[in-house]
Amino acid sequence: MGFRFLHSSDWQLGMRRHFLDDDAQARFTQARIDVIRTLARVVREREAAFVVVAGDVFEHNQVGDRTVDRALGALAEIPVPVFLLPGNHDPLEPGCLYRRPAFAAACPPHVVVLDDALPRSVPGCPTAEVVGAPWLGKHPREDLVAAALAGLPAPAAGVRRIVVGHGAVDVLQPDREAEATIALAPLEAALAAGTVHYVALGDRHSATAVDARGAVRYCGAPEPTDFDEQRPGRVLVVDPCSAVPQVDEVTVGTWRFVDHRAELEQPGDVDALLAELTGLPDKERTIVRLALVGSLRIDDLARLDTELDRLAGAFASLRRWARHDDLRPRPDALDERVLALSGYAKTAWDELCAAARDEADGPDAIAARDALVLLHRFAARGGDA
Amino acid sequence: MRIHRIRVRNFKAVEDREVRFAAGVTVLEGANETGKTTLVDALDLLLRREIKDSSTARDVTNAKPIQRDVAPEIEAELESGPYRLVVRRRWGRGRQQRMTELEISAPERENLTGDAAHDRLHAILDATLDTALFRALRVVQGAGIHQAALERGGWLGRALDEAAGGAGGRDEHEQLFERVRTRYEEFFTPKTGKPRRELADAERLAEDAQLRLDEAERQLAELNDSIEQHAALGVRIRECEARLPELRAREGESQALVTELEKARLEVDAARQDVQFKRYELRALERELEARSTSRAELARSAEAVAAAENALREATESAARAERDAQSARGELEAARREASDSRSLLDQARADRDLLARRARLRLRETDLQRARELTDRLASAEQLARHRLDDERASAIQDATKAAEIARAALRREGPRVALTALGAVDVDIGDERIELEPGARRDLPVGEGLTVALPGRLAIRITPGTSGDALRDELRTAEQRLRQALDETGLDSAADATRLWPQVQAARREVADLRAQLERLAGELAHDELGVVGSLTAWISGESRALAELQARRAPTAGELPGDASAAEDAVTAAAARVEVAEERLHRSGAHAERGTATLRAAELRAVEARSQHDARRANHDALARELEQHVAERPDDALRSAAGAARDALRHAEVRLAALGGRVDEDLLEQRQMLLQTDRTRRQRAEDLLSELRQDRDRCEGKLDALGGKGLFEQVEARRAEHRARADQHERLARQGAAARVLFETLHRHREAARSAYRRPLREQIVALGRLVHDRSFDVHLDDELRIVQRIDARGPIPFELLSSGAQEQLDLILRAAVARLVAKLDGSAGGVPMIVDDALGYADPERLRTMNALLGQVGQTVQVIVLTCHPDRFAAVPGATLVRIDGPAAGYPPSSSA
Repeated sequence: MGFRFLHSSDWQLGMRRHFLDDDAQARFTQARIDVIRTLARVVREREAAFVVVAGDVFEHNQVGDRTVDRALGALAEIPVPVFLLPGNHDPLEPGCLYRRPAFAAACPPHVVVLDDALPRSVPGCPTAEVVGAPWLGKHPREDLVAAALAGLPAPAAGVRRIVVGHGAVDVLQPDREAEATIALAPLEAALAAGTVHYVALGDRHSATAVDARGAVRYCGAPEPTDFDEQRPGRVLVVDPCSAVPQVDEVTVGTWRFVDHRAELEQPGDVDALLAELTGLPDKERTIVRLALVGSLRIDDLARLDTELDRLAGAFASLRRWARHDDLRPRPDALDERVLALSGYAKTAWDELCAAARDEADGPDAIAARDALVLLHRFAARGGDA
Repeated sequence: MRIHRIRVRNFKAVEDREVRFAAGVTVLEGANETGKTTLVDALDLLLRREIKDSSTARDVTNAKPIQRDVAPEIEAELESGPYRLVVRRRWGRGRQQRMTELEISAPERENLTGDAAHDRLHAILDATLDTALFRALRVVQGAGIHQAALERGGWLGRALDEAAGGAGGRDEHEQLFERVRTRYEEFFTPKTGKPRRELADAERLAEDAQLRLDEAERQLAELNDSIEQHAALGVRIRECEARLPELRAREGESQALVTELEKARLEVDAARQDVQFKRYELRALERELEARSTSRAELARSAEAVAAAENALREATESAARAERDAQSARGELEAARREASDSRSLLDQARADRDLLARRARLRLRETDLQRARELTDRLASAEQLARHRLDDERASAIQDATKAAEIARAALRREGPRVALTALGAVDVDIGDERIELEPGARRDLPVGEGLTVALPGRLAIRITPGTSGDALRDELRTAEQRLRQALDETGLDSAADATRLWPQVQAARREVADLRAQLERLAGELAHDELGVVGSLTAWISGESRALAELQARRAPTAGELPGDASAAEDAVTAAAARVEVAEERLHRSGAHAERGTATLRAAELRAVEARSQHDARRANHDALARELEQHVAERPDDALRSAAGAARDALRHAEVRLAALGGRVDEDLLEQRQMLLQTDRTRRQRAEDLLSELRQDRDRCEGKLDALGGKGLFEQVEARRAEHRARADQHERLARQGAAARVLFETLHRHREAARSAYRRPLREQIVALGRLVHDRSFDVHLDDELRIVQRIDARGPIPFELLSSGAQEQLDLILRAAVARLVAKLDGSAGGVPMIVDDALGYADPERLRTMNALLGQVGQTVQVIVLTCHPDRFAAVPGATLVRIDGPAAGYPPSSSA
């Protein structure tokens, strides 16, 4: 009898992003709960028999009871068994959230914490067996998946064994935490021997097939968490019953992280950038990081500042990436008709221009640039008056 | 602008006057109230924008002449920029009377009236004249000599700008600067440049958030430490639990070995104690036997001691009885001696009393004689005192004598030297001379002093009254004085004549001497008797009667046993001597028998004491002896000597047996082995104990850890940290944004401020140069000034150094003020399009200038007049007479008719 299940991981519940204000953070937090309900919908639509979550369900063991309660409340809506694997963010260490009385009290019966490496049958799905490789502390000294599989007898005939693990796989990141790195070779051997049929991994927030057959996979985070993630916001619907597992990626995420780089040299460049930002959809769920380089006239610079300030309100976050931002004023291209400065104002302007042209990005040069923009603003207003 | 001509009609006191002004300097000279200032006021009124011909402003109504119903009218011919024009205005009540006319002759001819003329005039003035500067350059009479508030900008501003090479100082830059300053002051305080509240608050909020974040992170780190610690504790507890069973087994084995060895040693110890016990038992019995024989010997010694004490007691008792007898006889003898002594003393007292009685009787008889004598003396004293009390004394007696002598001398002198009457009896005749009738023999002559006056009468026939007149007055006065003094002295003494005094005086003196003598005798008789109240006689009488009574009483009281009173004093003295000798003998005997009795008493006491001691010793020895005897008797009754001896034998046998058994056990105990085993056991026990303690501690630690984890687990410390991190980030961003804005505002403000200061300095320079150029005409080469931003002179500088303007004298201030205006006028005159600038009007200035200064100021005005129109109003004919090239216009009295003006 065949079956399908959902492979998810890295919910990171309780995560906070410092570049979000309180309002945006509240929405960000809510989205991570809502996506659990989306999984429940996918379960129903795709008739999945169970769900495995391969680690980092929570951002930290020290999240508050309210976060735990809200997560369990959403999990209760999933109509099939759910296996939660403790990962490096929420290991089964002393004081961990899975052992809190509050967790035990609110945990629905169909939600199971994989707190040991013993094979488990799946209620309602006799041909499935789940083996977890839980993190028992923050610094494991071995390949937990390999340890879980060591000495494990072959599953009963007709039973498909799903291994759930968490961590980096040696072929993708050979350096990382050498002792705990998951070795791919033994997994491939086990898959070939038919003692394991699918390895559901977590930790990597980008959906990734690790082995050639696609039986060892990272599903990625269901909602993105950072700028550097590839194809986040998905859940895998896995059918492990054929010789090669059948895997569908279903998009469930609603938030976006956007890194935008632009070179600005002309007033037109400013217009293009602003148009592009204005055109982005779902701004309230979009986090934008701008890296702007080049040089602009003072009036364009002032205009850019004003417009970005205005646009920022629409986005969940719109910020300049200070480390990669290098936009300089071009005071020599000052529009004399706008300013019509003369006398001491003109000599002061010239002095500030010289200071702002300084190639070093010292605080004096920055202050001089800001002062120029300010002077431009006041002088222009005087011209209007 | 240039003023060519002003005509005024019906304006204040002026009926009609016209004055023409030169292109250079015009000096308008006239006495006070001749209307010089009125001309200039009229021009001002004509050019004021708000004053139309219909105006009823106060300046207009004030211009109307008093008590004349006429309309004031002004006409001026001016040149301003390219325009040459004549303007007339008349203010009146009705439309008919009012009038405004403007005639423009260049550049194109125009004629306008009414409001059109008014508006056109001001359009021209606005375009061609800096009216504010024109007004500022006026010195209004009586308005003081303070510095004009020079408007910035305008012609002066432009002139300075141009002269400074366009350094700039225009209004829009000032507005810009003010905006920048306002922006700067949004962030920083103006004076100290410290961050304002918003900026400081932002920094503080960021710091606070950092602190809260640190605190949350610390708590989370603590929790993480606890987790790590918990894991480490788990490992150690398992290790410990694994080691414990082995440690316990080892301890058990050691314990068994030690127990066996200790049991053997206990047996040996018991045997050794048995020997010891039996040895003690034997020794006790032997000691008791010895004690019994000692007691018997002691009892025998005690019996001897009791016998000796009995003997001693007997001897002491006898000795005490002897002493008692001796003491009694001594006391009898002492009593007899005392009686004898007492009797002999009584006899002596009686003899002495008799002797005294006889002596007092003899003295009583003497006093009775004294009393007789005192009575005689007292009688004599009474008669002597009567004479002695007379008022005559030494002083008065000599006063009477002196006065008598002086009267005689005066009288003799009067007789000798006063007027005299010489009578010669021609026949026998009776003549009454004064009250005395004398008979004169014929030929008898009488030479009589006239004295006070003298009546010589022939009785029955003639009475001649002779008066001395003034002759002899002094002598008579002297005589009268002497007689008065004599009379006065006699009155005081109660005597009638000097002769009485002479007779009585020796008797009085004798009586007084006798009184003193009698009193002294009486005093001697009285002796020690007090006699103030009773007098000597009374005192003696009282004493004699008292003494007689006392003696009678003594006689009566004399003891009947005393025998006869001795016959006389000598017999009494002998009786006293005999009685005293008997007393001496009796007291000697009393002394001897007293000493004897004392010795007897002391001997008795000592004997009694010895007897008591002997009894006490005897009793004690007897009691001791009885006790010893009873004790021995009791011991023997309890355990007869035979029984005691057989028990000692049995004990000796038991000891021997016990010693044999101990010797048999001694070799079986190995103490070294036991000690070694015990040490090993201790080591094993300590190891096991330590392991258990450690395990217990570790478990407690783990429990504590778990407690902490349970307590903190649900608090959501991680989320707190993250929330605080976000808060900190937001606040740090906010602070950074504000700080950056502040930095920009500061840099901009400071840069702009610096350049502005530099520009201002450059802007002041041309005016200063003008002032210095003109000032050096008046002062010397060292003259200079310091101007402030408002172009006011704040200091005058010369060779002596700088002096603040306000400390200068009134004259110097006025001159400097004039120089400043002249400098401004010259600067403006050079300006393109100013058409010669603005006229400079000087009204009644330089009143404080000295002649030399006046001369140089005149020269200065001449210099200024070369480029600027200068109008000088003065009431002083000579003050501005020396202005080179000046045109002088004299005004005489309020003008009534057509202008008497003249022009050069």
